[in-house]
Amino acid sequence: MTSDAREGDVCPRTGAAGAVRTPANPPHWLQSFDAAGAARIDVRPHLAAGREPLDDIIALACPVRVGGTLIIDAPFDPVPLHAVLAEHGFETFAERIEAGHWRVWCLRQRTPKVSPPARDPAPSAATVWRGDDGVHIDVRGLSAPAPLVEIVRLIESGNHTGAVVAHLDRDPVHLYPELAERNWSATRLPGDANEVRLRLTRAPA
Amino acid sequence: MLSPVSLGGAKHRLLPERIPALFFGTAVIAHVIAWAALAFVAAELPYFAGGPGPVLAALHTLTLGVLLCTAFGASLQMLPVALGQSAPTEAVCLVIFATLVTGAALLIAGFAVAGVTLMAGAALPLVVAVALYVHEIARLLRGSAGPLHWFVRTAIIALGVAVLLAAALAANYSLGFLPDHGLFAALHATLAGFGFMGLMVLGLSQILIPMFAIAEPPEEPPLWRAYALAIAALALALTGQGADLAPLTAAGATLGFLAAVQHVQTMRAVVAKRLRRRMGPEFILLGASWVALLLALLAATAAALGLLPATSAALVIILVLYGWLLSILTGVLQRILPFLASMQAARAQVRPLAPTKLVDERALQVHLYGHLAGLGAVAAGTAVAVPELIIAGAVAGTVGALGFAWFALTVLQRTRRHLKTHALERLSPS
Repeated sequence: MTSDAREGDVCPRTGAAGAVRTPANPPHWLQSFDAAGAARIDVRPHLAAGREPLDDIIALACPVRVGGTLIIDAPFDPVPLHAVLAEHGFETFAERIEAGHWRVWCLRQRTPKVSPPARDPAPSAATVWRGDDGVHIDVRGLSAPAPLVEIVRLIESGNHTGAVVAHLDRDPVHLYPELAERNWSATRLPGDANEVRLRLTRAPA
Repeated sequence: MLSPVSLGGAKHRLLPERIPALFFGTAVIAHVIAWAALAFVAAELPYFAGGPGPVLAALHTLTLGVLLCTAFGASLQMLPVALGQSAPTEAVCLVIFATLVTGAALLIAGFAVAGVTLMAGAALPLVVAVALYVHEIARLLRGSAGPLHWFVRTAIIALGVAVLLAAALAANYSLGFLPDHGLFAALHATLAGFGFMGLMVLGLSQILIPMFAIAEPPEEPPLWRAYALAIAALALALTGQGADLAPLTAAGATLGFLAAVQHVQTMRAVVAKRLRRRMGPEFILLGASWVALLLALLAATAAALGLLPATSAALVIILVLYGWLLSILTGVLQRILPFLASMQAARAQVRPLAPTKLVDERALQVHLYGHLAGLGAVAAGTAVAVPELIIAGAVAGTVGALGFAWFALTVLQRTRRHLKTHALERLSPS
């Protein structure tokens, strides 16, 4: 991640819609911000080690439900990140805690406007995003048994609310026994052409 | 209650229930016979060097009855699912099964009684079975690429050549046209054991092991390395056998050992990153199969260089067939049978059935310990030429095989009970 604004610069704090916010102008939602239930990531160690933290932030942000919260600690106000998170449906507000420590408060206001990213011809992993009807996972283009592995990984991760919508190239016949083993069930949904779409739900205990 | 799953387009990739049941059921029965038969050939086994007789009959009960039936059944069912292709038609599968079993029965009987007519009569049905099978697998591979494609494609080419050699060997008993019967028999054994079964196992492992362990499939570079090493090994071994150059044969076995090491390393890395927490007995069998493969190739290298006693040829055969191939195939069947049953339940639009609920763990334990004890005793008895040890091993292996049959029957019974219960639920007023 790069930043146009470094500690000590005069940096604007950008809201999700691009409006400039200052510490004196915090958003109203910050008053009822659920810090205890927030997903958290401190990217200062990433940056200190010269590692790009954006993927980790997005991975953490994707499963956050609407109304859910995310807190990012960074050594500066990560201005470009505000726009990225806005695309994922987050309102953001950056606050300077102390020298070399900024905190970005993020509230998910809506599901992503953006469609799931376009898939390259030979994708190496599933695409996961959150929709109104649950967490979606797109495993199209992956060769067997990767779709099975990716879906089971998501189910077992707990990063869902008991419902997952899976987008596949074909019926995952090997998945059904694994679902039954985990007390999950699958229901066919209407999908795009050449797509099999399944709603996977955890059965009541 | 869990809702039934509509398999929709998956149905055309699943064979009708009775097709895998026929192949695997035959394998389960032949498995018991193949172990028990060793007790009756215990005295001759250590010095076996080819030729018709009870030993060859016992070995072909295993190769045709268990290994080929399992490999045919598994690949005809698993490849359409893995490659997203239509499964072969039921009629084609039935013809493959009927000709394979007929040919196998005639050949085994012919070997047992040294009956030339029976052996010759086996050739046609076996050639038909293999030709149809090769045609179907080639169709499934059309349009695919990557390591799996090349492992399986090379395997079916090796099978085609191996069965043509087998037909020539059978005809040779009547016509006597082959210049060196023993050489052709050795080439047939290498092509069938390492060329077909070996490459098929290495190829299908790329899908089955990640699926069983719920793990990321392996990266391609190590698979290509294993493929290149295996092909080079096969070419060297066949050339060495054909030209009667023992160092070349030994070099082939050594390269085969390196291919096996590469394969085992790759698969161990896959299993290490698994999501499945509990490893069943099938993974112990998988480990045993890898150990047996490595030992077999070391023994084959030493035997080719004349460093082992006369019993080494039989020892290599036991390690390859009962150690490597039988261990991995019974391990695979332990997972596939309940999985297929669960998929068939989904196909029947009934309540999904968890595979573990179909399995009687006690049966699998009996099989595991019987198999490992049997394998150890038969291999040791063969190496040191002690028939009593081989008989003890055959008894243990037979008990293990009966345990496996118990397991398979349990899966069948519990699946049928589930389907019947659910059918009654659907008929009863809610």
